[in-house]
Amino acid sequence: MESTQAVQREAVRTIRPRLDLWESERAWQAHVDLPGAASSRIEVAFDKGELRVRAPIEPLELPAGSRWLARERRPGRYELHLTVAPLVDASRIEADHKDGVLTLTLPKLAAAQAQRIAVRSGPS
Amino acid sequence: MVQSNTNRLFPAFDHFQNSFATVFGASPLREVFDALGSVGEAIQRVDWPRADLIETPDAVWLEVDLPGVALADVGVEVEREELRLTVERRVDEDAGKALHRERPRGKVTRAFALPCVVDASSASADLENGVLHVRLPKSKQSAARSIPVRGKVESPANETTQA
Repeated sequence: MESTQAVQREAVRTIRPRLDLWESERAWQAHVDLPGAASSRIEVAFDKGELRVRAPIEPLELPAGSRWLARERRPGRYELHLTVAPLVDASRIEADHKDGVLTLTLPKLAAAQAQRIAVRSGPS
Repeated sequence: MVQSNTNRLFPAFDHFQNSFATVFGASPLREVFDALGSVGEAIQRVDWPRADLIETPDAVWLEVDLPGVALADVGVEVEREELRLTVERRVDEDAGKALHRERPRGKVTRAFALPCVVDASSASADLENGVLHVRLPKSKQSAARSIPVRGKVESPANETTQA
């Protein structure tokens, strides 16, 4: 049936999630909106300078005889690719998921951190 | 105002402007995040937050994408056959320096037409994985109602002949 095919096409739709990027003294952070994704099914991987996030949106299970009066939330899967500069300490990247938001923390290498240079007073 | 007819189901805001306070800025990206694809475009979204309204045999459900929002910042009101959702979303004001922002924030209100009368006093709501689920049981009076069939049909045509 045509409608079944439409549903199947929708099911594999890839959605680039919305995100904010922040910088602090010691790290960069990406805050990624992943509404409808379960913590246990979020995959975060780092490979060759690229950080990848994948997460399926948990489908809604409706009882028989239900109908949609408004439908704006799309089924599918979140997918995000971030190219990360060599200034990131890749071995210490962290990912935390809470209330539908994934926080990726990318610690700066010492070379990327702002440094205070001590001023010596030379011999007069 | 018909404030007395309004059932306040969850904490809502005292005054609420019917506006989208969402601000998007296309701030320059640092080279750390130099391959974000379409991220750099400033988009004025008017579809936030995204919602589904579903009628099941015995209830009406509202499903809303609200990542990072606390239940205390969500208001749901039912007035007759209209459902109003109010949301305030605050995001990370203390996370350092913003390099790029596209997640919607601020206050927003949305209204939905309900397909039937609901029992607002039995409504329930919870948040899971950043999705708000609101369940509004259908009012028993509105569920299955038999319409009495009378022999004489009242219609404007009958009125004119009687007059």
